[in-house]
Amino acid sequence: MKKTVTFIAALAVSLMGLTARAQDKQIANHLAVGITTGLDGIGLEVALPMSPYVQLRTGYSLFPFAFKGNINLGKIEAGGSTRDLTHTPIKASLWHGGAGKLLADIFPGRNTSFHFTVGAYMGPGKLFHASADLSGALDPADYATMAVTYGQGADKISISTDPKGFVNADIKVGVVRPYVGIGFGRAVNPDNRVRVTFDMGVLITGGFKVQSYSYLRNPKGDPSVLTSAALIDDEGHQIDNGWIDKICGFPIMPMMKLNVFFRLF
Amino acid sequence: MKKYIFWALAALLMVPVSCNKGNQDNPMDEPATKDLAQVITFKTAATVQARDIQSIEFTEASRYIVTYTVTKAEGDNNILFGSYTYSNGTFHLSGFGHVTINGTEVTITTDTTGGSPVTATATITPTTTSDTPHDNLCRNWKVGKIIIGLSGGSFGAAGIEKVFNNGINMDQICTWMDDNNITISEENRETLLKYTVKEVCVTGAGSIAISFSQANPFLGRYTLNNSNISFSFDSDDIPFITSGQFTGTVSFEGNTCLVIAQASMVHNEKTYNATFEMTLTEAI
Repeated sequence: MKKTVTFIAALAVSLMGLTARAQDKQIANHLAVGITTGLDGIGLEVALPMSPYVQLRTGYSLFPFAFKGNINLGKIEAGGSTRDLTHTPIKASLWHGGAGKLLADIFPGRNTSFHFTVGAYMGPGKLFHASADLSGALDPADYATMAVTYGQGADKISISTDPKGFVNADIKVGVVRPYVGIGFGRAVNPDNRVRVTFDMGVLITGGFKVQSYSYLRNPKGDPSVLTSAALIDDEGHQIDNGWIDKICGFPIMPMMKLNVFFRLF
Repeated sequence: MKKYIFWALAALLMVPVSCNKGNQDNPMDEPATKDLAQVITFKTAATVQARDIQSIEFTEASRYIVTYTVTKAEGDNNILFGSYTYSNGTFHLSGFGHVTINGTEVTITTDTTGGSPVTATATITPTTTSDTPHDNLCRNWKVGKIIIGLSGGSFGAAGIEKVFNNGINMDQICTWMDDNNITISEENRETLLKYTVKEVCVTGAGSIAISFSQANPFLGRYTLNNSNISFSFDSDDIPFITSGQFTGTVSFEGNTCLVIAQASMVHNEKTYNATFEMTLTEAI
């Protein structure tokens, strides 16, 4: 997060310096700041033209909202007693840790609104993050010292609470996610102070990982990735018929955003 | 040009930082008696205090292992394990006596009052280790943290893992197994409690000796090929462990060694896969 903010600040300051020298070439001779909202959450972007045909955008977005509630995880036998997890507090959020982005809008004409966009989103890649509070149901001595496992060998899943008694799970995508899409509107337009633009496209995620963590060996958590091979019943038959692998192997996800830009100069 | 440098620096800010943990198999400090490590194998058993000694092994880290040829009888022990010092050409074996080597002649003097020296002919084989994993492994270890995993058996496709931070404490382990429906009878519990591990000694001659809180030490053999280890013990006395065969891996970091070993055990006619992840700390 700090790194991304530093990057944006450094970029903005530097762009101002570049702007003065680039006035004649119409490169970085304007600067706009935008607020975005879409499937990547709410964000800030900085945009500048590189030519009449190309505009660059960079920024950061996150989902500031989280779902909080209780879920029913049933009752489990652990440590010699029955643990009641029927009202387990849970907190869930999207794009945990947010995402930085660097995008280039490519316009087919000098004055066209329609554009193609290429670039990348960067960040922890936690598309979905959930944390269940088991601290009330477990003995503190069992925090990060007791795990349940599933499967064998390389496919073995090991899940424990963290040192505070929380079980964490994610749906994770790549740290760097290339983006291709189309859009409408110019983020920077010399004739208008305020511009509304729209983006739609796909993030190339390289697939998804459904994972939880074991804290037995590492206080920061070792991820255990859920695969179809791990989901076997007591007779050794695969439970999901390979669907987890198929769904998680889907290499792209949609992205859609609405942006409002304010030209600073 | 400045512009390109700026973009390069800006791009670097966005690159996630990764760090290389480096080679975890760096050589450790040499153990105290590495140059004295050797195996004395008697051509004809040396009879000391009415027991026939087959061999005496002096390890790289100040431990001796006396192996008797007698058949193991109930309540008897076929090895003697302890620490030694060396001075003026004589090995001083704590709790046993003194050993002097003169060519192929080995003289043993026990600590027992009135015990007369015994001299026997033996083959003396100096122990050498040829690679870093062996150099690191061949010393004395104390078990620090251990993670025990159990799967199969009554767990079906699932399993459980538990961290024990105070070594192989059989009292805690028995309670944990009991809590997870692997019931331990009082008789078996009493037996198992004797096997709380005190020290593990690994030697360049391929021996691995484990001393326990109350039970007689175990002497086993191991092979190490890079990071792959296999070792075996006579485990007849230990409930549930059907085979003393373990296979796994070792890795080193600082003065610690991580051993991950698998074995199988049977309880109430159900076979469980057991995994032992032991963090060993060098014991002087």
